[in-house]
Amino acid sequence: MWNEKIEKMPRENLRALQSERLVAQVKRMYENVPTFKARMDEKGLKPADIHGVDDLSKLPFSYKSDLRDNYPYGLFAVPMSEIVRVHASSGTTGKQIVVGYTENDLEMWAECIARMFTAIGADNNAFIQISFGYGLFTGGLGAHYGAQKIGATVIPTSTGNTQRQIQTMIDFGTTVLCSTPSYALYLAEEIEAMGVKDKLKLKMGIFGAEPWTDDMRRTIEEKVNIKAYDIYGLSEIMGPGVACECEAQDGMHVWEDMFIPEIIDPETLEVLPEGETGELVFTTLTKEGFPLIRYRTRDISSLYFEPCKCGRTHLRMRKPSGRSDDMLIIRGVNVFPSQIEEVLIKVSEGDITPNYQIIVDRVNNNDTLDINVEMSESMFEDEIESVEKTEKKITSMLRSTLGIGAKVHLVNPKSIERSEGKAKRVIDKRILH
Amino acid sequence: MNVKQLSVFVENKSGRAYAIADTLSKNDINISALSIADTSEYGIMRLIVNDPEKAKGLLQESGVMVKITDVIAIPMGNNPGALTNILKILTENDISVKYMYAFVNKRNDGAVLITKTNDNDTAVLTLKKLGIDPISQEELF
Ligand SMILES: [Zn+2]
Repeated sequence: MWNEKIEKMPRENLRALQSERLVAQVKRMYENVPTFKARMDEKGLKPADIHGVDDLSKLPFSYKSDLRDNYPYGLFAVPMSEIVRVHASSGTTGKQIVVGYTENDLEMWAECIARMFTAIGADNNAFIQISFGYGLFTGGLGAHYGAQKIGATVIPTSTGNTQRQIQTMIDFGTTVLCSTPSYALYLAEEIEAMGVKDKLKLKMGIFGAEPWTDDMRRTIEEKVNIKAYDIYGLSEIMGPGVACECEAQDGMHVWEDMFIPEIIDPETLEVLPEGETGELVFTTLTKEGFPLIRYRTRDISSLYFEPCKCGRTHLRMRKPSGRSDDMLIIRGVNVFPSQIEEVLIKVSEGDITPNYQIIVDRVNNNDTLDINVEMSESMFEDEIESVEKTEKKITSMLRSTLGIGAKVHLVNPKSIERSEGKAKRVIDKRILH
Repeated sequence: MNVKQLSVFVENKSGRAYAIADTLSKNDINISALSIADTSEYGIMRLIVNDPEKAKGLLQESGVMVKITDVIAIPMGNNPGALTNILKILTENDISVKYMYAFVNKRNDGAVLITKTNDNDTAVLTLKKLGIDPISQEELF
């Protein structure tokens, strides 16, 4: 372990450490971040009302829009003279957001990444090729300093030029690859096509910064014969390394001495108990430049506190399964498009994932849920009976997954309208009424 | 000795069947026989055409789900009792009919019964033994 004292710290001690850090941070932010002070004042809260983690749920949430509203430096808690680096992300909805780091913030970030590399079995003998983009994006430089911290040989290839990436892997003896999962898959396919798998020394990969499935993990692992590990992070909270898998590959450890994760119901905003699925919320504990309290990530996940096989005491989060901003509330039940997608992946058994469209409407004050599914080869036969069987199978799997009934309609391939190549997933007609 | 049938998924929307027929006719595909099984939501159109592989490709390209299914084409006299006779043979030999439809064929100067059974191979053997030779794909056109 990189930092055994912290990583194996008994949970009650961890909690005490969190409480101490939270109290100090609330005070610091109240004095230095006007937006935070205003939110506290609105709730009639003073820093003195916060005594520890037990009071966390009293604190106001923060949102991505806060970063846009205070663009570029309005949420920083230290003078710019103490900020030594900025990163930015464009996000999918327009204006970019900016985050800032002090010297110590970068140090703590490298600490997270160093723990991660050590947790998957890399050390100073490793050759770590970083194929995350270097630049304003947090991926490249984030992984870079952690790799350097453990004393590994860092190979900073950044993204692009696939042939050269692979040649570098062969010539420089890369043992660990860091990249986005989609790029890793692309690299794996190229390696296979070039027939150079045997020339590689690659043992493992750390993949993150975009959603990926367990199927993708297995495909990458099989194609290049490595272990593929998952990493989670977001620029607002720090960057990659907020959480990551250990060798057990059973959920990602969140470094709780630096972050407090919570799972909330995105509707009622109530904190949910262990194991329940909801929106992931993060509070930073050591960040000086750009601390955040109860930041709503919009990622859907769940948390587990039971001890891990690896001996670390820090809790684990499940790989995010969707975004709460895509969530639909149908007959009072939270429904995520990703849940529907998972059912369709199961039904299509190895065929390509069928395209689908969710149509929600309200008829006689009752929500209706219709799902159009583009048929794949394996779903169609020449008899009504077998097509009906497929429909029924999807319907019953959806019922058990979603907890509510849905009407399934099989439709012809490519018949669901697409805009810019992407199918429009959800049509909520209730908004129009 | 099986014949290839096109099985086409048709959504219950106006113009869908027309679009399918139009695609085929524009490409010189001749439809000899046709039947539709339907529900309130969709139908499955079953077609006997002169070039099933080409027709499949054309329909797939136009975004229609289509499969080729093996069926049996049984020659049948154009007279009362002809169908009864064939069904009697199949029933007595424990062969169950999944679906069937018939059409009149110029070349054979009689009717042709298209059917899919739970066991096409046994059905063909049984019929042959009793002197009824199912028609091949080539003989149909
Ligand atoms: Zn672990």
